[in-house]
Amino acid sequence: MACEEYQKRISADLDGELRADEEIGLWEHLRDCADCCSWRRDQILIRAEFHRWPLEALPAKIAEPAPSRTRSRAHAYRVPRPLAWAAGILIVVQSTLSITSMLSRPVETADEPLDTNGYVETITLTPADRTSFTVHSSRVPADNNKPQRNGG
Amino acid sequence: MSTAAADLFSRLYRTWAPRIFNHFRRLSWSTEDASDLTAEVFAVAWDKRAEVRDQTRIGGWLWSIARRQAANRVRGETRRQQREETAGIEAAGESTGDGTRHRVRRAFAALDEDDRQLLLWREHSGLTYKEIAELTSGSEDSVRASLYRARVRLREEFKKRWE
Repeated sequence: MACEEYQKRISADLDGELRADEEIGLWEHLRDCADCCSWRRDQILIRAEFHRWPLEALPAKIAEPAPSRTRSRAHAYRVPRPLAWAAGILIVVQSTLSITSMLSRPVETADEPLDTNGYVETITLTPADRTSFTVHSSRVPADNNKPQRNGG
Repeated sequence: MSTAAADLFSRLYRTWAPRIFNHFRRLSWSTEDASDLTAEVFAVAWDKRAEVRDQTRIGGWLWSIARRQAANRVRGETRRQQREETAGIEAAGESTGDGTRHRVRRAFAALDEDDRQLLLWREHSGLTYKEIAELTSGSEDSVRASLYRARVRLREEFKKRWE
């Protein structure tokens, strides 16, 4: 077996992941192979330095736990998507209904006697579109315009 | 936040935040970036806490979030030379004459990010081949082979600095 294969096994052994059947012949090879022995020694040395690498303390700004501290602040408190969609649709429908209602109802009525011949002219302004109005005019005798009394 | 959830989060944070922060630092992120990334990992973890079904696997879950966060973040610099310089300065500052430490850290800094991440997961975080395989969506055999190759390259870099 080539040295590379033994070194793979040494690597796995350092990780505690060497299978029992892979141990066969490994230690005998290490006794006889200076290269693999050196490879293993270097890995142990490097690994020891790794393990001596001290941990840095957490910087003050993240020393204490706070789940919504970062850019996720908005993310953490955001409105659930279905609710946001429902609210949006509601706003659009309500706005449409308001505009339609405003455009279709008469906005101004003049109910004044305009002449002296006994007629009352009624003028009604109805929005034709968003920028103009249609003028409806009607003349009726003033008597017809009086409130009728019951039983009179 | 309920008291129980807050307590659990606090315990998790105190156990895992230092490890995750140091993992980022050793991957050559600046202190500022490593802090932000660590905070982001826990913000995401909090948002996704409902995903946790098995509390014994929280470590692997946090590492997977950490991996994604780091991958999504654009690093200002990735040049090997700068990494080496940073590692060299830090190691020199701490070594006070210990040449081996200095060389190991410079050699480590000279590796590519995948090698460094793999070695850190194994050597610092103590993840098993199985856990690393889950993180990388690979097989245990591929983890074993990748770790071996990373060690070969690390030794080569180490030797270069020894001679």
